[in-house]
Amino acid sequence: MQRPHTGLTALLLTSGQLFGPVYSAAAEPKPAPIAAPQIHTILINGLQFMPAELQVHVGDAVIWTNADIVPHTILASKSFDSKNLGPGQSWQWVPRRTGRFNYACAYHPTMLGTLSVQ
Amino acid sequence: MNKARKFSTYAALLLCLDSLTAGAGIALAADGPSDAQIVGIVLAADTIDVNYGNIALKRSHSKAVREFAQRMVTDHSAVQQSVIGLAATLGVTAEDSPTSDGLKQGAVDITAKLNSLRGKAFDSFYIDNEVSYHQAVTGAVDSVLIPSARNAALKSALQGAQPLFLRHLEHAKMIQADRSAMAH
Repeated sequence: MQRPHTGLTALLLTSGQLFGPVYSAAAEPKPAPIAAPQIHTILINGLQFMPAELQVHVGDAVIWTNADIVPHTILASKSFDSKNLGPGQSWQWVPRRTGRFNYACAYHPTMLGTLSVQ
Repeated sequence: MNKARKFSTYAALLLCLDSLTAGAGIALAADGPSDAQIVGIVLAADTIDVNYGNIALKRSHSKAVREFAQRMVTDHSAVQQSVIGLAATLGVTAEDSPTSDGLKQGAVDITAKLNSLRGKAFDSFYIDNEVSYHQAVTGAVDSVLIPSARNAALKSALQGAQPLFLRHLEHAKMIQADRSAMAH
């Protein structure tokens, strides 16, 4: 005849495997997960930045792609400058601080865009 | 060339295009320039502005004017190459028309005037001409060339080029409005 405590022990061991370890009242709470950096794309098409206004977070990657047949630049004075971006080319910037970054194409100064970094 | 005569030259462009459409209103596609003529008009218009830009690069000492001129040379050359490539793909050979001939003839007078001017007078004339030229071109593209284009790819290319011409017009107006930008 099987001893009752043996079966009970087996039950406890089995339940531990099924339901995982049991935390004591003194266990520390798990830290909130950190959001992974996102990749954002801005298309340059018809001499417009699309979207013209974009909200991103510090550490995210912003990639501009020139879909026009003429070259452009992405220039925010003292913050970033893609230099010449030819047709079909892409350029990436990763913001390291919060703020509002107004930028323009140095070649076509009426082409304007804004990045809001949080 | 005074402003009145210059503007009348570009008004003549629109009248030429109107004559190609027999003065039609909505039904432009049926009577407008052929696709071959449209290619010829666009190539002529681009060549002319590239030439104007090259003159400005030689004669202007204004940073703003020279940057604008370089943009005209680069961008209109790109449009030229794009149109040439598209025409080859479509098997279309550019044709002369009263409009393209009128553009070329008008450009002779403008070129002579540009080559006769110096300093701020040159810059003012060049930019004023670029404003009126791009106004005429964008008007013609919008009201005649796009509606008249029969080939869908050509129509799409014209629609794609129009924002570029409009940005050029905006840029020229910016410089025109800020005469100090033409200071040497």
